[in-house]
Amino acid sequence: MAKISIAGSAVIITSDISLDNLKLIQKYRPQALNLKDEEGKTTLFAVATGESGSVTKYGAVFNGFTRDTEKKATITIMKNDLPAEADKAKAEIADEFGTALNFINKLEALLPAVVEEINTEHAAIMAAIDVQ
Amino acid sequence: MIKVTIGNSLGRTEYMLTPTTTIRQALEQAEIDYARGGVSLDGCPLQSNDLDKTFADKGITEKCFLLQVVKADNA
Repeated sequence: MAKISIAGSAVIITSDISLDNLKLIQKYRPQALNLKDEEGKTTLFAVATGESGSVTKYGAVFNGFTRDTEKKATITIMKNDLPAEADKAKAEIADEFGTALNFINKLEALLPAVVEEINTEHAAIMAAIDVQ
Repeated sequence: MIKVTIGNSLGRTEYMLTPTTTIRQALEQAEIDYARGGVSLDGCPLQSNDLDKTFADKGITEKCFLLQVVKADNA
């Protein structure tokens, strides 16, 4: 489950999935990063990796690098107008990023199976390559 | 992510793109032949040197419309 940390004016969203796995999916199964509605027609939310992190109501872009000790994908957003009181700051962040966090959590639940599928395919391809 | 509605007179499709996607990449992803007519971003006509600018460069942060108007040969 994704988490949010507030450090001074920085808001850091840390995904449960590693940045390497996110990049792997983006490369081989980009459609898996789109959360669709029940009919599978409309994209409700999408995630990707990019140069810098951002969150809108339509999706989240994770930073292209991570300093997380477990190499999890992160989004860093500067919020200079956060209230000084911790409770008020938390309430404001929950209000602004709560919906996005719910969508990220739903996607995270689906992605490990995609990574496993890609790794299985990759292993089969590697086994089929003969170096002479 | 930015919700970009890309299309022409035949139809429109929504794409979720990163702010660093260029307008050219977006049009190519949507298989729009941008050499056949003018392209507008939120109603404003784009110049050819806008194609390699990103949505962030154009100040788009959340959603926009990227539409092509094909000029008919006899128009």
